[in-house]
Order: sequence, then structure tokens, then C-alpha cells
Amino acid sequence: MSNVAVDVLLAIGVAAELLCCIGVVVMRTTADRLHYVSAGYTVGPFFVLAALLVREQLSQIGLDALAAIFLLFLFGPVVIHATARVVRLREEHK
Amino acid sequence: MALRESELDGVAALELGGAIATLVLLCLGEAFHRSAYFDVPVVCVVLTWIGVLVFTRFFAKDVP
Repeated sequence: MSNVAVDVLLAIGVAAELLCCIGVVVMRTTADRLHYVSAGYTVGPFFVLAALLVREQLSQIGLDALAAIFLLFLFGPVVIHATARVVRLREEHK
Repeated sequence: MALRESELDGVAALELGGAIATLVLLCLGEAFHRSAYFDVPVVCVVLTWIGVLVFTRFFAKDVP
């Protein structure tokens, strides 16, 4: 039962990341692409973390994965905001 | 993406690539089942963050 849950969560995480990649390629403007990048920083990693925690519980490996995903959650919005700010500055000065 | 579109689109793709690289490293660490390998994605997140901030700072200087 636990293995099935891990497989399903991992598959959802990979599918989410794949969708984000497709969105980044297909969208027209940089701002639209950044929305998909933002989703790639949150949705996919959440499911991968859930899969890891189901498999490892709160062991050393689970806590390390938790730290990595926490940093991803923390730093993701910062870099996306920084990029969006530069995009807006460039559009204003066109 | 960096070749076909503008440089900021390339930065956006780099951000997503960093996130995916982190997840791949996490999965590899789990596959090898070595806790020492789980330090690598943490370093990858921080380096991606620094790299993207350097790029955005660089491109922001182009704006008059």
C-alpha cells in the first residue's frame, strides 16, 4: 500500500514538472512563463517531498529532503520576483 | 529556450531547470539510499538561487 502511494505521488510530481516545462516552452510572454516556473517551484516539489516522506518517514533522509524542499519553497519566490522585476523594468523603458 | 527567445526567458528556463535538477538529485539520493547524497540538492538550491540573482542583477544593469 505504501509503495503504491509513493508511486502515485511521484508520478503526480513528475507530471506537474512536465506540465510546467511545457508551459514555459508554449507561453508567449516572460511573465506568463514565470507563472509556470513558479508552479514548478511549488507543486512538483511538494509531491516529490510527500513521496519521500511516505517512504522514509522522518528519518535522516526524510529530514534532509524536507530541508532541500523548504529551501526551494523559500528561494523560489525570491528569484521569480527578481526576474519579474527586471522584466517590468525593461518593458517600462521600451 | 535561451537560443530562441530573449535572455530573460532563458533565465526563467534556468530557474525551472534548477528546481528540476534539485528534484532529480533528491530522487537519485533516495535511489542510492545514502543520506550523504542528500546534501547535494541543498547545495544545488542555494547555487541556483545565487546564480539566478546574479543573472537578474546583470540584466537589470542594461536598463537605462
